[in-house]
Amino acid sequence: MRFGSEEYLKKVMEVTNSDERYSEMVRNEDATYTFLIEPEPENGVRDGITLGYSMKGGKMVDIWLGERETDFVISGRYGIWVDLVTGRTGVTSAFLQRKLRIRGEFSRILRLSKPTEYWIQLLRRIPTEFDGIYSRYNIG
Amino acid sequence: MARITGGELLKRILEKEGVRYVFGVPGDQLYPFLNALRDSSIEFITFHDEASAAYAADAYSRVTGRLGVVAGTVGPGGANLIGGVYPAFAEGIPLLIITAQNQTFRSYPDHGSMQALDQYLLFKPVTKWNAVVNSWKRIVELTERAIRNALTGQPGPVHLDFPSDVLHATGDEDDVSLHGIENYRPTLQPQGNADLINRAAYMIINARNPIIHAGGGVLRSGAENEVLELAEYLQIPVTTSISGRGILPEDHPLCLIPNSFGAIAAQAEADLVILVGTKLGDLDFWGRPPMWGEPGTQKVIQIDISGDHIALNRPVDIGIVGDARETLKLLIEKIRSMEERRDKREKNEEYKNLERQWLSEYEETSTLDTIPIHPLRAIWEMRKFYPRDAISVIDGGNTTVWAHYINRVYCPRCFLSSSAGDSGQIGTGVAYSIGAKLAHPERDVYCITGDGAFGYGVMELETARRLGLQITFMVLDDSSWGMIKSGQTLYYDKKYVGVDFNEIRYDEIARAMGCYGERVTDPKGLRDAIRRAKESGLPAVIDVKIDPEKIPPDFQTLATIWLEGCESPPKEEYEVKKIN
Repeated sequence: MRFGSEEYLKKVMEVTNSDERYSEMVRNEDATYTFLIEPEPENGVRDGITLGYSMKGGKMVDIWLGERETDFVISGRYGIWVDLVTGRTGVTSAFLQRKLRIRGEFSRILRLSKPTEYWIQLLRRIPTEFDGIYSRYNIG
Repeated sequence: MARITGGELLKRILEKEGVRYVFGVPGDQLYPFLNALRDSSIEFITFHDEASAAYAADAYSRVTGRLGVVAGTVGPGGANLIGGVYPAFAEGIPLLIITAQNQTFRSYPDHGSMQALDQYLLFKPVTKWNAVVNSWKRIVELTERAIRNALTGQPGPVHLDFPSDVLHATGDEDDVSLHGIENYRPTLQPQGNADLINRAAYMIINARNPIIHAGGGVLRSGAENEVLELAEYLQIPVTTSISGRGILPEDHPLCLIPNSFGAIAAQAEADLVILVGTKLGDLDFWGRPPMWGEPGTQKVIQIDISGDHIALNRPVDIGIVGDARETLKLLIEKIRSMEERRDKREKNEEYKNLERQWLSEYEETSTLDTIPIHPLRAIWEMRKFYPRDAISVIDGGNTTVWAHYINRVYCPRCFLSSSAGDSGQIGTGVAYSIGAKLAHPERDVYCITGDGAFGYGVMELETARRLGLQITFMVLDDSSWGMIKSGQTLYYDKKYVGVDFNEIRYDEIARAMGCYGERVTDPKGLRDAIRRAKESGLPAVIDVKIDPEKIPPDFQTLATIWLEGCESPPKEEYEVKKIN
């Protein structure tokens, strides 16, 4: 399924909520998130994607495409999201390189770094198709 | 009306300055100076290599705050010194470097002498100031001037090049006046501007969430008590640069370990940063967001002895040129007159909790009984064995990263490391340990080193043995340049080039030099091995076979900093493997 599509988001929700370990890790970390995935026309990614989700009691309780007011906004070019999802770079490393930008409480992001790394590993279970030149990194 | 040589005159000036050791390698051209030291309170400590001698002088200065002195002979001696002087230059350590030179009538320019070298130009880029002493009559003036330059303002190494005929030349001792220290250099450092300090005090007491970020300049200035006082008075958390470790004990409630999650969060969220004695280099993430707040929103007060460091890597709101200790004294006095002592700040406990979370995984790993031994396990056993005031010396690449996680620092000037500053020079460990132990024979000194780094200075085990210094060296032995190999593992698909060694028995090398040596392959044997090493009373080497597959979790972060802007290798060629 196409990375960032509605179908993909639903699968993310399913995978996330079926993992008890992750649920336990973020049980007390209720928050809402927006991901801004920026286009790269030069690399065949014409459209950006804005998506969001809400975590409550260790479960993903809502997902959406488009903008809403959220606790955290994390933004970056399409390619860096591909790097993250495919494990080609780590979250902390992406922040350090300023390839990912964050709006929100930084200490909380750091506190969630381990669960987030774990969560990204879960996403690798989802067959994923990437746009443009990144199709070479399709998963599954 | 006695006539004295240039060497004798130089010795007398150094005695006046209170120099206790000259570290070095002897040479023909240095004879008059060496001969003068036979009858002196100064001891010449001979090394096998000039760079190691310079490291020892550097370490002596770092742990005492005093001038370090190193000497080498002309040509190869001078050339070999350069690598040893570089960390002192990069990190602002006051050293006096003495080189012998061929005779004045043969030098500058040389016309065919053996070992000829333009040492004046050679040392220029790695010293704060240097000069050729071309006459017996200028020895006092230029030596005092060199020392003044080394110790005044931003400290640093200085260099004097002595042609051999100047050291051999004699003059009437009544023709020269040796001055007291206070007659040729300031004995107190300058305070910052009072108006700026008042403005800074106002900004600090009105800050909602300030932090102090302190660097090696605080240790050089001896300002650790002032940092502690300011921090405790207003409950301001303190982060340090790597070179500033030990300013506060790392288990102090207000101290956040450099680059721990606690420190990063505090740095990112502070509304005011009080920078003291640091220039925000690459291991401080250049003071940039997201690891720090946005310039303009996050205010910065910077106190530094060097005007050049003010706003070097990030704009400041108030820049104060002054000695850290003297300036903080005034600042604290002003704050005390304006504001009551605070009991707590809301965020501090949260930052400490983040630090604990960051540490917990490393602490867990450090108890593993796996074979081969995990590097963290070995480092943990070493740290646990020694008291809080032991001086720890860390040397290597991956070794320094592993040690960063688990080798806690509890006192000022008791942590020496190849990573603790701007040089990142490896191979310093053995000589740093010797310099530190000579400075503080009453204290334990231990060194944790990678095997590659140990190879640089291994012959100096004989120096330690000759001097009767009990120092324990733990070699984390992975038979490779581990850090570079890690990069080739992660980024070049294990296509290794130039990173592997043969198997070496470092414990047997130690025994061959009359030291204690032991190899450990089982983690359960570590503690007893460390105990036996200390009880031997000898310099001791514990050769620990570690798991060569382990890569420090922050390796990728460091590579990111060091290779910023370098897209290497091209993404399409190699897959970056996940670090486990």
